[in-house]
Amino acid sequence: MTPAAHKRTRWVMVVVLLVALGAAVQGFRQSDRRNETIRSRHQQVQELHDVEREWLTWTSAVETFAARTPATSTPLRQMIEDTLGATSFNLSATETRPLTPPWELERSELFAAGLPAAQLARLLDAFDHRLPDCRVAELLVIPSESEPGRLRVTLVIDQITANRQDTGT
Amino acid sequence: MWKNRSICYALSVEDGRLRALKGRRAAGRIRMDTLAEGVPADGPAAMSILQQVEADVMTGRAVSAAALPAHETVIHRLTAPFPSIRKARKVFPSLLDLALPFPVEQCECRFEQIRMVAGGKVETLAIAARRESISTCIDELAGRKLRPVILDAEPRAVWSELAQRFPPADPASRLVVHREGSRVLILYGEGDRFLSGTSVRSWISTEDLSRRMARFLRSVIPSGGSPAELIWSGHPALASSDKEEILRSCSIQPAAMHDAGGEDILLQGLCRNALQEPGAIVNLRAVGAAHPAWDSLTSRPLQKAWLTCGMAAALVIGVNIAWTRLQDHRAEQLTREAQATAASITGRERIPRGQEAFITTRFMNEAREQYEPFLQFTRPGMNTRFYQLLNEAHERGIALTHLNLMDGGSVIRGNAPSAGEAEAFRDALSAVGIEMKISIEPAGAGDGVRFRLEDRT
Repeated sequence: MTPAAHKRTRWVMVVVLLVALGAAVQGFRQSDRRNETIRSRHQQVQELHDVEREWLTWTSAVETFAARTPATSTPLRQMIEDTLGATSFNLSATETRPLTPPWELERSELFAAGLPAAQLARLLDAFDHRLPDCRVAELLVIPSESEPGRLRVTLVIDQITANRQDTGT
Repeated sequence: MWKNRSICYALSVEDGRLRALKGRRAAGRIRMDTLAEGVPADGPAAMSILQQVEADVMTGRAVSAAALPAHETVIHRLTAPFPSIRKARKVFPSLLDLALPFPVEQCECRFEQIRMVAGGKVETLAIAARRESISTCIDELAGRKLRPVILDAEPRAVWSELAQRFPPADPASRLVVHREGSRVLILYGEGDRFLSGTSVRSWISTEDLSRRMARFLRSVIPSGGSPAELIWSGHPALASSDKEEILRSCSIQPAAMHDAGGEDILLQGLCRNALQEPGAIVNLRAVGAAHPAWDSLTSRPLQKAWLTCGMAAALVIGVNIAWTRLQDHRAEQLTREAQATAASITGRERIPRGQEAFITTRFMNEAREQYEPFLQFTRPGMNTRFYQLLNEAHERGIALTHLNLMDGGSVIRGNAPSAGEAEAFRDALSAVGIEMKISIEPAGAGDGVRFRLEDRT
């Protein structure tokens, strides 16, 4: 092989390697973009798993509620009458909205004036023990100005019940 | 690239006797072994050696080299008046043509040691031989069963080997008198630069040899004087008396004189040159009359270069493809996982690719109202908070005058014996998880303080 041919060979080798190097650089630049896509998707999957955990918390709360709620429980008005006796009160439903089937939420407001503190305690205690499907969402207690030692009480009560149409009962 | 050719056989036939030398390059050094020292060229020993040489050459394990006699070669040092090697290469044949006694078109020419020299010129060592002479030499060698792959110029082989043996200390003039069978080579140069050479028949008398040598010296040293170095070499070696006679007749008194002894300088030179890098090899039978093994040997480096380049390129591209596939696979895996998770939350069978997060978030926002109350039922109601408040207030002698408890908007008003008790009440509520901020104002003379607690939110 002549020196000139040798030199040509070297140049060809250099060109081939440069082309391969160029291809490699281009490939690795695309690889950066792909890595960015993978990172983004990985983060998305992590966020979806967080959402999934929250979703499982919700569904498990529904299951827990359904498990602890008896098929039949004391009606709210009757429980209040039993607890307050002769004390007058006013109970009115303010809102009803559907929850995840077959459940719905009913919000009621109870107002009682001149209520002794002991009766209020009994009333709240009854919510804990006799009405597991009810929850006191808001409690307003103000001492009665006209009757010292007695209280003006307003309770906002949430009750979750199974919808009859949905359950078919 | 030249690793396969680490073995060279140097061959010479003189007066019907074969001389053969095997050179093997290993670990950067060349080891020389004499195979035949003047055995009859037609004898079984010579035949056996030549068969072995031919077998090794044809399998590509080795090359064989022989010399074109000095009287068949023309060696000139040419100088082109250009500061460009590329341009100089184009004019060297024309310059050589002027120096040759026959047309350059009839010759095989090689231009070696091309380099820039002082004055912006380019210098080369031109080696030429008539194609007819080359053919004759090849035929004669073939008649002796010698088929050398490389046909080197005899003077060049001798000069380069002696330059290797006796490295010039400086660019001083050097004269070589080498006896090679029936010829005596007279070579002249400066340092390692071979400048000119001639050959004479060895059977001429010492007086004739001295006269021819003196004429040669006058042509290469026009100003007269003596070369700084003189090397005697070859075999059979010149007798001491002949050497003294030559020195006296030519009136030369070299500052240094070496004797290479009876070693086979020509064959060693052939071996050493043949085992050089391919570009540095001079092969006068390379074009037209080339040995079949020559083409495969010279094309091998090119093939290897292509193969190496191709493999390197294939490796790079292969790694790229594999890496891309891996990344695509990982991205696909993540997409499938995202779709499966989104499907399990929303209950939808098909979710458009890339919209998993959007659809799931929208679904959760819509479902929040339906599920949030169940979560609230898992937390303590306001009655629990009410009992905690009453207990803490009772312990600190605090009278509550207004109590409104709800998620995120509770307000408590009351009277406390002191500001410290009011703050302690706030701290106690905080300890049971009821975080409220307090504002305190005096209630009047001796009646403690009035305070107001609100949810921090």
